Amino acid sequence: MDRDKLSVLAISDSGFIFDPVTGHSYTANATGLRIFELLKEDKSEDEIKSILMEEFETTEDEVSVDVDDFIENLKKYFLV
Amino acid sequence: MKIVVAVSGINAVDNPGPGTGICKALKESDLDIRTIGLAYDAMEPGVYMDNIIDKSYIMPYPSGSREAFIERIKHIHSVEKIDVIISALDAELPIYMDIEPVLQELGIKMLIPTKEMFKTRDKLRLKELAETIGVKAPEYRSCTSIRDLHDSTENVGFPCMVKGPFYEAFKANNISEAEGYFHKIAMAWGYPIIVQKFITGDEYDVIGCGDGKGNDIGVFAIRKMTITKLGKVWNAVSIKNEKLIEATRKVVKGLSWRGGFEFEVLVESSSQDIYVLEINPRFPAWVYFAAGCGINLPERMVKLLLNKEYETNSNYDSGKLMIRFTNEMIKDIKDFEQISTTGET
Amino acid sequence: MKKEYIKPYIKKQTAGIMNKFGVSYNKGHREDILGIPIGNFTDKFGSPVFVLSEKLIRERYRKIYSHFSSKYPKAKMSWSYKTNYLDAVCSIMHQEGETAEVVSDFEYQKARRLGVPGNKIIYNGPYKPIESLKVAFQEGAMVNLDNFDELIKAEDAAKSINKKVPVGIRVNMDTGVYPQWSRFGFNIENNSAFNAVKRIQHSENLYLEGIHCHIGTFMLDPNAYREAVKKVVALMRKIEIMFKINIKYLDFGGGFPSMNKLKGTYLPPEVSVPPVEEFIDAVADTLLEELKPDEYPDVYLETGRSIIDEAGWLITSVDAVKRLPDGTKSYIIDAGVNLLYTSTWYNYKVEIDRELHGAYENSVIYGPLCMNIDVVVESAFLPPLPIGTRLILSPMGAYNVTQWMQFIRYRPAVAMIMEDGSLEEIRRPETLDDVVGPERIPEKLKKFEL
Ligand SMILES: Cc1ncc(COP(=O)(O)O)c(C=O)c1O
Repeated sequence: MDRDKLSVLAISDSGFIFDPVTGHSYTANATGLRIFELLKEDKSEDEIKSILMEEFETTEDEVSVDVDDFIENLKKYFLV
Repeated sequence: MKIVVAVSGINAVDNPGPGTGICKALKESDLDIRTIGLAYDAMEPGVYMDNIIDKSYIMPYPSGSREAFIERIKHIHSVEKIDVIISALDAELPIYMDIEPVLQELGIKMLIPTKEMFKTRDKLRLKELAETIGVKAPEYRSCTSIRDLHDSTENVGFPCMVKGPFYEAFKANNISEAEGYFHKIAMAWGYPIIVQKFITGDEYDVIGCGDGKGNDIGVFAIRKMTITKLGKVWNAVSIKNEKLIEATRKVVKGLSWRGGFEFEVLVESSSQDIYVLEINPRFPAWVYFAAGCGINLPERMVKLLLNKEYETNSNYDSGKLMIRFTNEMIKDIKDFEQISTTGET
Repeated sequence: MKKEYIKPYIKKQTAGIMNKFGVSYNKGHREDILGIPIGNFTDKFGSPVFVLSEKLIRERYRKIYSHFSSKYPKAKMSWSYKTNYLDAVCSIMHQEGETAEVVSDFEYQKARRLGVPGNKIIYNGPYKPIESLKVAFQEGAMVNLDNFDELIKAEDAAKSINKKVPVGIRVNMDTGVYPQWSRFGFNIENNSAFNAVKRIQHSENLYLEGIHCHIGTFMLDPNAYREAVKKVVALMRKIEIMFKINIKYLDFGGGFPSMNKLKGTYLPPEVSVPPVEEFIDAVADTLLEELKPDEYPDVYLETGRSIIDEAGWLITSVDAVKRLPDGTKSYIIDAGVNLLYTSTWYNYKVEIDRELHGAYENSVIYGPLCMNIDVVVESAFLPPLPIGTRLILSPMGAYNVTQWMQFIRYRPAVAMIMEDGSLEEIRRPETLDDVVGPERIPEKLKKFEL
């Protein structure tokens, strides 16, 4: 996964994300923003999953499917 | 205290709504008005025009649920204490006609047609209406399927106009063009699609506002000089044509019209007969033209609704020109963030 | 303490396509139907399950009938069996006083079996086998004829039982709405209706008693009924004068719309569908304008969907979640187009059984059939749904439990919420025996080894 692009994104607390290179903008929710942070910290996908499980009331199955789905989405948007 | 007027249709784009024109007219009136924009999209230009629109909110689509629509207005009202809403889009008028009693209870006033009036001006009934006011209506058919379309165009002949139930009209020269427009309009606006005979002549427009008791509170007539590909007026000149004004007044009287309207007619070159093309149940996008010439209909409408004295004259000069132009504003992505994440400016 | 988990979400902003405020969505969820928790239905009857409310059916019927009968003195209503012919539903209608309106020999037999006397049945439709015509004439049903060939068939049927029997004719006409339903009955404008009457009056075995029409279904313009009444009354006058007879009944069929969102309409049904009173007024007021009191015939309405559509729901469960290659969120539920014939025309209202957080997105809802056409809702604005979420689809009362088909799965239970709040199973889920019962295997095909 190429994470270089993540560092240039302008991410605001409201969940609004602006990509100054492409000019596209996005909205994400709090959980989504948290995954962004963890990705930027160079955490692996497995690490991200276990951190989310520690922080939130959820199950391994659910987090696993959701994180994969989220990262799929980022790939689709060419953000990673 | 400022009077708070919420205005929709602030999409001043290539197929423009009248909202920004209405706000400009209100700001130039002798009332002290706070204007609220009701937008359906974060990219409606009015959202960014803070010189004429003080604050904007995003609305749920009228095609969604009635409850969601009411809820949103209630929320805006709780913040803004709206006095008047001026609805300026065809597709949302039915929902406003439906919820007007609810708004009235909240203390929000509107001058809009009743369902009965709205139906009578329906494109499907223009013929009856034309007869009662002594003008003509072009031959038309309504279609809900491609088969209907084939039958209708055979009847009406080419070229013909293909029109949507709310918006959009295209001139089709042959059946394949007609089919193309049919699908295009149906995708966006549904049925029925109207096929209308094409008549060669000059197009004229009259803007006005009815008080609901058979009187107008001012009318203003123009000849369209240039129109865009989408059929919108681009340049126009004010005219004084008694025959046209008279026909307009008959419509207002005959229907006891309540609210703003645009009366679109065509005068056939060969016969000089007046054909009614459409009666739009709201102010047209060029509403500011009339205001700029002294017939400030949005101002008069607000005054009427708030029981203030208002003018009713139609004294304006012919030979005034309206030049529409394109323009650019520079805004920050923060403004877009604000409206798209919170739904308000 | 751990924080509440909300599914992560990111969405690209596209100008011109609406953001979350612009799109229609139903933030609300519903935990019950008329006070009964959604889980009670599925625990008791399984999933999916159709639910009907006795109370809402009766209330709606009474509203329509009392409005109609308060305006027109000889108002009558007949239940359109094809709209929903479950025994329990028909029984409610018959308790309320509706006769039966059937359009096939199967429906005729079903009504008789339920205990409806032959002379309380209106027999309509473009195809009536001669044997069923004989029975109908023998039992005194009101038979409305559809075409000239049927007229001759009816004559033969009456002759064979040595009777001279009353009949009605179904007519069609231009009421200003498109499409015009011109394939049923005799056309008024081209005189074929009048010619049919002439033929009937010259017959030794038939005589005319009534005129029937049904101008279409889900009509959105009450004025179409004004036109229909005017034209039918004019025809009645002409017939009465020419043949010196008395027309006993007029029947204006069904066709009033329900609060379903028709595909291809832009406005929500709450706004685009006129209240049912406007349709009844169009019929009754025009009748009063056109008729003199001494000539009032019986006037029937065969209102179907407008009575029952909103008294029905389908409860179904989310079985799987999938993101399509183009990024669209999709759900697979346990009810498909095999049960939901009306999904072809309607965008159902979709409600969820619990409050869910997370960002709403446009999602597509697929049924369980292994078929590409099995799309139940093309676009619903939904928060992320966990597996097992129950969806409540509505309105469902009209035309589904008659037009559903048994394809690769059993048809599910139909439950009724009774007036006192109790629950009854009015049709149990199908079993293998129900499905294979009529089958027979030729002797030589009985044995195989694998
Ligand atoms: C003859 C006849 N009567 C009544 C109905 C019931 O119509 P609706 O459900 O539209 O009221 C139908 C339905 O198609 C019909 O064909």
